[in-house]
Amino acid sequence: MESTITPIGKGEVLLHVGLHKTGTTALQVALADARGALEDHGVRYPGKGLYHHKAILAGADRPYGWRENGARITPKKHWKKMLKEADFEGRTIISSEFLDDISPEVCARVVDDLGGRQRVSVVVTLRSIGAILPSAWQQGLKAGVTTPYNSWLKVMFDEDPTPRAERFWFRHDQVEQVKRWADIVGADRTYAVVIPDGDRTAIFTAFEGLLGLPGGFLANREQIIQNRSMTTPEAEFVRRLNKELAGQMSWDEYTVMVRRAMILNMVEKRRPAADEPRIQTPQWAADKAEEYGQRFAKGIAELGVQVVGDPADLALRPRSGDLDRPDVVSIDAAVAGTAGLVLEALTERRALEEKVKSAAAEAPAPTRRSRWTARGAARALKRGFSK
Amino acid sequence: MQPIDAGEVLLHVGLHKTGTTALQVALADARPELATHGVRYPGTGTFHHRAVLGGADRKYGWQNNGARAVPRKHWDELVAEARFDGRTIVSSEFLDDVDEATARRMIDDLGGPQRVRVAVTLRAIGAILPSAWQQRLKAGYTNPYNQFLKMVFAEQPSGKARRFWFRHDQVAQVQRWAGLVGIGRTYAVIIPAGDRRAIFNAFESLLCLPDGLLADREIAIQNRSMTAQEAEFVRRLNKEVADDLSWDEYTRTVRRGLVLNMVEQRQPGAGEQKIHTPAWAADRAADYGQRFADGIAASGVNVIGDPAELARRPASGKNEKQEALAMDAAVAAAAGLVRRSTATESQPSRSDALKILLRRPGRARSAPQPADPDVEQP
Repeated sequence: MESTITPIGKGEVLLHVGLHKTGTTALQVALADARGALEDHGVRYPGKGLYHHKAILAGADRPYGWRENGARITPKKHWKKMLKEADFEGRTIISSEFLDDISPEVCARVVDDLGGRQRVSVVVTLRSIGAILPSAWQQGLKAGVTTPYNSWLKVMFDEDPTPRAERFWFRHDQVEQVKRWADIVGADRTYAVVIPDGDRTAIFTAFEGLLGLPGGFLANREQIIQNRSMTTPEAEFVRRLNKELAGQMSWDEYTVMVRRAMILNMVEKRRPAADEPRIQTPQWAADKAEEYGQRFAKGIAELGVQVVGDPADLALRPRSGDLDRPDVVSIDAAVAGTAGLVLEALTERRALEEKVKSAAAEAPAPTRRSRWTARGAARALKRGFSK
Repeated sequence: MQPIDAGEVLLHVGLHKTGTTALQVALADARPELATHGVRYPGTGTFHHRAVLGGADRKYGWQNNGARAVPRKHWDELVAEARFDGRTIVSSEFLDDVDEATARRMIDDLGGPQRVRVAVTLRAIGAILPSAWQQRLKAGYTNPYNQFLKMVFAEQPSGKARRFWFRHDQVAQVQRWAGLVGIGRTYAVIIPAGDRRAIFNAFESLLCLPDGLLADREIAIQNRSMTAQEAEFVRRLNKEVADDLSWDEYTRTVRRGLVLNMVEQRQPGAGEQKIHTPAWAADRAADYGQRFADGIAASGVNVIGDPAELARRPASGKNEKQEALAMDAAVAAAAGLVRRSTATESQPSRSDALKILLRRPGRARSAPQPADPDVEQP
């Protein structure tokens, strides 16, 4: 599909605010991969890494992690560095889903920092809320959530929303989200890109158009990114593990062990059998999602922003069916997950051993009082820490 | 059965998987009471494994990766304690594969054949096989049960098979010790299938202890068998990770962190499949068992129990391929690992690093574990 979109002006910045679960990671990986070639087309993807999350977290003063345990502030320098790079005569693209839950004041400041509304355009990528729901729940699982899908849905659709539900809809009320940005940069500089279900190239095509890149420039890039959904048993495995470990770990420990070592390994190393149950949304919630989706489709069309794609796709009803709570997980999923844990534990042990070894080598003459003398440490290492 | 004499040492050489861990835990638990009955269980810990490994100059661990020698002093301490005018009981399954010369030296250290008596506890080989395979799994082994059985029963025994039978040829094992201390001073204790008191009763009488002193003890030994799916999970995990680990790393992560947690924290459902010995191997086990029963009966040693028990054919059946693991097993296993993890927020100091490396979380909660017979590099 050749793009018919008019690109943003040269010297301008395109701010991609997500949303989560709309193909953003694939886009970011493609942009990072194309970084050198992009410059040839007068397009800059600042930084050296895959994402702009750090810069955005810093720019938006947004803490990252569990609020009550281990969340941290990202140093401002990451944002300042990005601003410097974005001071560029070609087109700059900045992309981070972390832009999707910042207050209008912070949004305005971010836009101001980047040169103001005359220089910044905003693009919001959207998928039907029915497709977002199971993905969002799974994303929550990867951050320690212990609520089963059905209860989680009840929280999200409760008439009387909890703070958690309010945070969710602050992000995922698609009309509010797009309007928030349109109020700052103007409807004409705001793009709502509608991603049809199962269309993996739509997001690339839209950005090729917005950045004035040749058709297929991003879409044809080899994607090594695999961010498949968890199956029902995998998700239940993670949920139950979260429950088992709840309250016993800091955010850092959780991220390293459970999120990266276990879940990532399980999702990446394994290909579930075709008949392994996929997560389905219960009927009642599918009805709600469809209703919300219709409202979003209508709302987006009425906002007057630039719409890429067909808003009707936002009203799609999700795959629905009975929920089951599996009591077995396939052995290869358990193996892939726990093997990731073992290898991570190992890496840590080895790092600690190195630490002890090098410290033992450097340590000054030990005092009698010290519980672990350098020689004792060396002996312990030699013995392999038996007793 | 007559008790051993005061001033003598009863050397219990196993075998593995005959209730030895339960016996050792009971002996350790009863230590002060034993003393009032003139019986000594040397040391302060649960087992004599370290002393025996030290005395036998045996390394513990994967022989080519991380096995370590145990200092001799542990044995010397035990020998010193065994110089005692009452009855001394020394127990370790690691005695079951020491060669004859080493065994002789150890007996001499303990005062020679005139002072030492030997007890060998025996169960039907058919009951030993699935336990032995599982114990290997907990040490990194990756072969399925059927392959393990083929190795054990191969016409042309491999080195591994010979090591297995060096331990588990019950007649040869008993004769080896009888050759050193004499048949009159050697005891073959037959443990009937499912009888948890037999081993206690035998040792109560050999040590001249009141009935029930060991048997009635409430001991928290958790050493249930793995179910077929748990075993398959561990086997496949071994396959995935064992190449990357040293023995020490393996024990600290997989064995103690994961397997132990899974086995201890969870009660398998009633419908969960057990490990079955295939019919061909059950037949072989029954043949071997018959030979052992006959050989023990004819050996002239003191027999406690009925040798016919040794000929029992194990329950046999087909092993279904296991694809699914109970969710609670997977969760217990993964949580066990995560809790043992050394993840830390910041760069630890040297002493913190060392403390983290040396810590043994869960040790207090965790029930004593059986000794590992079959430590081999996978």
